[in-house]
Amino acid sequence: MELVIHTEDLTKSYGPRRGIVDVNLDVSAGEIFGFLGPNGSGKTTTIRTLLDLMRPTSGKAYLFGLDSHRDSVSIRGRVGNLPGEFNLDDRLTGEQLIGFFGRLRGVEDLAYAHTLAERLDLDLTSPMRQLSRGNRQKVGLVQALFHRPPLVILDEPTSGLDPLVQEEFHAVLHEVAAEGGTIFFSSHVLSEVEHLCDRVGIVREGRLVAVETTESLLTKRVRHMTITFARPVEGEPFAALSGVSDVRIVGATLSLSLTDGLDQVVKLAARHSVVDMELPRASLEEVFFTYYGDETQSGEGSSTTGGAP
Amino acid sequence: MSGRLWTLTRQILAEQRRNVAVWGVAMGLLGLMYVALYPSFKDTLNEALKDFPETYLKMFGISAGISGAAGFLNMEMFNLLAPLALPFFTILIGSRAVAGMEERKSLDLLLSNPVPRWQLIVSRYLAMAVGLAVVLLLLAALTWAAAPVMRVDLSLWAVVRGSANLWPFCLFFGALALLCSSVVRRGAAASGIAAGVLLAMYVLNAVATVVDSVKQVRRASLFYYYGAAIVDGIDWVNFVVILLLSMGLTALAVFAFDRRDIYT
Repeated sequence: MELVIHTEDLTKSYGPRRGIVDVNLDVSAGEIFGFLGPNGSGKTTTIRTLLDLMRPTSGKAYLFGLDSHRDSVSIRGRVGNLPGEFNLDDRLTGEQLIGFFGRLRGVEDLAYAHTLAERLDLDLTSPMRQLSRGNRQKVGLVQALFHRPPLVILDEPTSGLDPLVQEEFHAVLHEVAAEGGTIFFSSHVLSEVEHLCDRVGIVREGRLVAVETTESLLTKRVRHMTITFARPVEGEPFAALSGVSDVRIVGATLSLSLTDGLDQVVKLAARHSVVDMELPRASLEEVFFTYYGDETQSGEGSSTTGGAP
Repeated sequence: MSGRLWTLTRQILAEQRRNVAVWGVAMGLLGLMYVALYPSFKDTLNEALKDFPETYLKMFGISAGISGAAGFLNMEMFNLLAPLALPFFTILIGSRAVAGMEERKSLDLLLSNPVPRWQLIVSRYLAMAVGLAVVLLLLAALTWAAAPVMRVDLSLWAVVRGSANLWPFCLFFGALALLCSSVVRRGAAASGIAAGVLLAMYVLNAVATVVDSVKQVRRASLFYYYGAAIVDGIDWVNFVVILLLSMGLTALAVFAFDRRDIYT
């Protein structure tokens, strides 16, 4: 499959400060790729380097097989980008702004922009200064998508959006991907990544520490199981099973954490009469913690926003 | 001109249209006021100037005395107020470019479009040149408008050439601010440096005019080459050289901007 984004040991340092170190990343056409990490981990630096807003200290980045610096203009013609932080001329209306960007891109048909605005419940006729933060963010989303780019890069796209709009926006992204578009977006909102992405890259302190399918991340990690029995049971036999930890018994309810050996647990439980059993999927939040461990407690602020139950 | 470059230029002009109107009308009204005041000044002025020390007259470029309304306008407006104030119009546009856009956090979004970086700089320069031309047009028109009403003998052509002479002069300082904004990270610093150079050049020229031992230093000041077009006519060599210098500064700005990271 065609690689839309490909980086080779991409490194960016700001003087003595770390930016990103040796990032090797491949994103294929049609993928929704989530770039996950706490604030300050290097997500924005990676994106801004891909877009030639910053030049790599070493390493290379290719988009559509083109050099990120040398061919930047033609790359940007094929990319819709929403920066993490942006401001727009206060006096312009959303419509004027989209029109301006349309002229820069040689796109005259703004019908899709209006469709998007309608779906996101955005009024394109008010000047920017009258828009709330959430509505400005919507203008940003519309400008990233209205020209139907083959690659959409979004830095924390849903910050400031209310949940209903977020949902609609996710639907839009799924449609874009279904039509063959590639989506690369950064987030520290774990539930969002879980809902949207095919694959996830996890960045930690400037390094890409893991790239996995969302599916494998979720199945791989610790799961929490709760079994309610008709009568209280002994915990020891469960604790003795391999892959099982944190066995706790409250009344007739047994809870445990599981990394492996679900089959054994179920068979052991079946010796008693079972009233109820819950096996929720581990949220990426927990997955996140396994990668970040305790280190996040001290420094960068482990973002635990969101997360599935 | 490429479509994109024109789109960018037009956008900056639209953003600046209020500034253009305010600067043009304000400077024009000042010019108008000086012309309107001239009849009540003219008899007493040359009389009064006789008592002024020669050094002082030289410093203001009027050692030959005031000859007519054009000379009066030259002394008050075109050799003093306008070249000191009007460069700020272009300096502010120039400094709003790279550093200013970084501060306002609008640069990432603009450069997400397929726009080469040089076009961002060149469109600024073009917008500056066009906006300034409109300001100067308003200045000339309003200044001259008072002449027939007040029965002042002032030719339209003199006012036009006086105004036109300000065009490359102000563009030079605007381009300097543009260069600074491509190098430093703060818009205020960019305009500060350009304004500092403007004032330093003014003082340098004024001092070097009266102190013979440092006379040659005048050549380092743009005011020396600016002259007094409303009285003497435009020195076209200087006009073109100053214009080329402003383009050179713009080229340097492109060079600097192309080689640097964009900050957030």
